[in-house]
Formats: sequence, structure tokens, C-alpha cells
Amino acid sequence: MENLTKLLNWEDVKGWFYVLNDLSIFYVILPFFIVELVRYTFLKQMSWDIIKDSIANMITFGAFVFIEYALGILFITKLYFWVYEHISLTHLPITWITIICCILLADFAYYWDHRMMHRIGIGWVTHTVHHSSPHFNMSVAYRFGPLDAVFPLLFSLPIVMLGFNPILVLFCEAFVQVFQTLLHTEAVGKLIKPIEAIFNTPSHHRVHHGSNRQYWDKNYAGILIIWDKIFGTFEPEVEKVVFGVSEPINSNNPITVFFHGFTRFADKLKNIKGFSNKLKAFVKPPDWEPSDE
Amino acid sequence: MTGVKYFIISFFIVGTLAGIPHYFAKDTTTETEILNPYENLEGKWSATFKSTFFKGIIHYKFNKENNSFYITRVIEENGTDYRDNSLSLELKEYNGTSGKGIYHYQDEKVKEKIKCEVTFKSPNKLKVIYNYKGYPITETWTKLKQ
Ligand SMILES: [Zn+2]
Repeated sequence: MENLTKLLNWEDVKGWFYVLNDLSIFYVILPFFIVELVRYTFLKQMSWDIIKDSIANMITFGAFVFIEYALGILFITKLYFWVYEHISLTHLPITWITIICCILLADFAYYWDHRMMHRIGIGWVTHTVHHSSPHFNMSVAYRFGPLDAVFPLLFSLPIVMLGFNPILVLFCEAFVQVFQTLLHTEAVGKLIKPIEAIFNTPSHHRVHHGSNRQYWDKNYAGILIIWDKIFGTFEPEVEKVVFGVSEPINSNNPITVFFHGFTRFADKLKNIKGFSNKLKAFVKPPDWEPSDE
Repeated sequence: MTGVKYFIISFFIVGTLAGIPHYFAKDTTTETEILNPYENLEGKWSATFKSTFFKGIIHYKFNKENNSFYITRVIEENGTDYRDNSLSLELKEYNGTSGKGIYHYQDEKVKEKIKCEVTFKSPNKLKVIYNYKGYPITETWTKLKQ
């Protein structure tokens, strides 16, 4: 217990997260992606479509990073610090207990944030990009929509209010993302039962990316699958997963991919009659139609 | 109804996950305070006396084992320089900035205990305050370069 409550050196903590979050691309993600490419080749599944899809994924990632900067993520960290200084409960000391609880809270916030991105029209506008690939490999993890970073930041603000250091919160959010990156693969089957029961795994996350009807809006988890089990959104992988969205985009053009959520939403708005119905489309589930009411 | 149920469960989860580090935060702060508040006293200190009882300089060295300062050297005003172990300052409590202790004085004839207060003014200044035979005395100790 003493080790868990011992004050940690902040520079060390930053170093650990740097290795886990930033450097992991070199020592796990890229090597694993290469294994996946070899696997595709070996199974004679390698195609131009996979290569073009992977390139589009990388470009959407670049565009995503650019947009987040343009929107002023720097401002967001300022807001975090302002909240931390003025309206947070206390300032928690950086200990192992604080870090573990912060990761779990970031993971919990991610669950609801992710669920919201699926179940609210304006959320799906950006998150559909991530789901639009018909493939499932490490590169898909980098396929982001324009506003994918906005919602998580709003959801993690309460964590800062609870007394967690804003930078630690950002590190933990990034860690939840990096953990998930590793789940975007078809190369790993089901893991041993205790792990599948507690953690989000490649199998659970394949279900999340499935366009099969029973897999829609399931397994929102980041690190722990138990959130889905608690909140009624868990679905095990039984039927072979068909990846993608229910209406495929059939394009590897990065611009089409990146903005298809917006263009589709704009089309939908055009066809919706009445101003209040148009407004409702922003907050109602993506498959909502005014005639539903 | 499920909405309310999920909200209550979420509230409980957030409360637990945020509550645990807050609960243990108390341990952390006290632990860091106790970690070693005496650390800033370590080393050698020099005190200058101009009282009627003694005129000169006394060098002390802090002993970590029993939180006491012991005399390493006494230099009288006339230049006489000798070792002495008649005087020591034992700290009974100290939090890193202030504390209480006892001056022990002992020679062949007398054995005295004088209560005193110690304040850490800066990394090289220490104030020791006590009453001796009705006189309030303030000693200013300066840190000696090792
Ligand atoms: Zn999703």
C-alpha cells in the first residue's frame, strides 16, 4: 500500500507516459501492422483496396491532427488548467493510486463519450469516419473524423474538476486510445476467458466495428468491457463480422472519407421538414427520422 | 427508468474512482512531510555568542540518528580553540520549518535542561530562541560550508 500512495516524481510519470503513449507506435503498432500485412499476403487477401484504405487512414489522421490544432487544443489545455486552479475539489498528489483511478475514470468517461458519438446525430457525423472502413487493421485505428477530439475533451473536464492534474488526465485519455489501437486487428482471435470477461479485446472491438445488425451500437468500451456489461451494450462475437457502416461509402478518397459524415448529414437535413425537426436531428440518434414520432 | 438506473450507477462509479485517491491523499501528504523534515538541518552550523556567559563561536553538527546538534568546536573570543561536549541541542519535534527542542548542558557540577524553539529561516539560517536565567536569548545559526 505504501508504494501505491508514495508521491511520484512528475518527470518520471511524464517519461512513462511518453514511452507508453508516444513511442508505442514504434515498438508495437508499426511492427504489428507489418505482421498484419504479411498475414493478408499469406492468406491471399492482400489487395490494392487495403493499401489505398490504409493510406486514406493515414491521411485522415493527419487531417484530424491539423483540425484539432486549428480548433485550438492549446486553448483547451488552458481551459483545463483554469478549471483545475479555480473549480476543482482539491489537487490530488501524483501517486500510483491517483494514476490508476485516473486511467479508470478516463476509460469510464470514454465509454459514455463513445456511446454518445454513436447515439447522437452530431456525434455520429464525425465518428462514422472511424467506422467506415471495410477493413480492420492497425491503420483503421488512426482513421479519425474531423471533430473526434472535441467530445472526449468535454467528457474529461469533470475528471479535472474532481482534482486530477489536467496533464495527467490528457495522458490517461491518450493511453485509453493507444490501448484501443492495438485492438484493431483480425490477426488475434479470442483470448483467455478472464481477459475477455474484463478487458476490451480484439474480438469485442471487431463486434463494435461490425455492420451486422446485431452488432450495431455495441461494445463501446475503451480498456474495460465491464462498462458495456453494466450498461447493457455488450455483445459477444459469434457471427463473422462484416466491417464498415450499414451504408458503405465505397471510396478510398481521403477527402470523401473524412467528410462523408458531414455531407450525409447535410443531405439528411435538407430532406427533413421543419426547423425544429432539423434541430432534433443533431441530438437524436443517427438513424432517427421525423416520422418516428 | 433505465436512464435513471444508469445515472445512479455512473454516479456511484465516478464517486468510487474519485473517492479512492482522495481518501489516500491524506496518507501521501503526511508521508511526504515525515519523509524527512530534518533533511534541511543536516550538516554543520556556526553560532556566534556575545552574551555575558560566553563570548565566541560554537560549531555544531547535526546527528540524524537522534535529531540532535552536537558541538564540534568552540572558539573563544580570545582565540582559544577546543573540542567540547558539554552542550547539545536535542529536537523533540520539527516539521521542516519550525520545531521544539531542549538544550542539554552538562559539566562536572551542573546538569541543565533548557526548552527552546527552533525556526528554519532559510537553507543557511536557523533561529534558536530560549530563556536562560530570565534572559530571552535569540541565537542565529549560519550553515557552514562542508
Ligand atoms: Zn465507435
